[in-house]
Amino acid sequence: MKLFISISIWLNWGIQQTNPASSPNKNLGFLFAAYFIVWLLIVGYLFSLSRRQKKLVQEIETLKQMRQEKPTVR
Amino acid sequence: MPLDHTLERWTTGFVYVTTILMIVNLYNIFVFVPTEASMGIIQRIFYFHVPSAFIAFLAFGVTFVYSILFLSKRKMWHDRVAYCSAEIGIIFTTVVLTTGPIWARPVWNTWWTWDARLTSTLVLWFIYVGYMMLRSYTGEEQRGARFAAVFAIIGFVDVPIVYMANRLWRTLHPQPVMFGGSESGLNPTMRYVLFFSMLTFLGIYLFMLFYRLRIERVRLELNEIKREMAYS
Repeated sequence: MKLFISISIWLNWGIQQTNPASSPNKNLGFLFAAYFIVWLLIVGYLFSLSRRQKKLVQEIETLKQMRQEKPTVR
Repeated sequence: MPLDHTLERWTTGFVYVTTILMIVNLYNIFVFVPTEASMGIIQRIFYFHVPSAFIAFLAFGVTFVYSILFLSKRKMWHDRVAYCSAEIGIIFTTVVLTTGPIWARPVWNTWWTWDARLTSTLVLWFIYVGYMMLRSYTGEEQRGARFAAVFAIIGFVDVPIVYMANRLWRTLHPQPVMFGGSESGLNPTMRYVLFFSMLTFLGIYLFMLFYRLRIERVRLELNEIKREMAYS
């Protein structure tokens, strides 16, 4: 929440500071924020996928190990 | 060739292809394409915002098709593809719903307005978040998958509504720049950059989908081992 408020204040400050007629880089803050969020979402999702995969593989390894250690009942 | 190897090969292939596309895409967006005259530099959000919407529609379309396939053939793998694609669709709809307001604030002087295009997109996001929640709450696999498939098919009705919203109703959201009739159109350089960006996002989507499906294969393997251990 604090991060959101800080970003909003920073973006609004950007609007007030830039002169529409003279600044070619007007709204650069917004552009940066948008691209940052896009990459955050894409990379964050890929990172979560990698963690999920790692967790599942670890679980499989543990179960395989348990299966090998457990004597089979006939 | 086994499905595991095919998924692995496609995932690896898409990593390389998408990385190259991404680098060229960033060059196109920040260096190559001219700055739009009325909105200025902020218009460059367009090259991520529109392709994300396109990919979200595609992802929900895949969910729709595979849900129908699942209901007709009852193959669990069809359900898995539908589920994975919906998850990725939500990610891209979130991109659309966050980049849109950031673009709107300096241009419309407001973060959000309840016009038809924006509202129907938000509804679309809620529909598929509901779909994911339904998947996680319905315990029994086959039954949960059946409910979810029906939900996904009905939920897909919102996709054409989102697409047509700014054609059917008066909205603050701009009129379509592509396929919007005689009034619409894009500068050829901008059109090229937009299509290239769509291609890049398609690469990202396919990479995510193959990666996500690989995880599903691992999960199925884990379930199989658990079943074997329970019976032994």
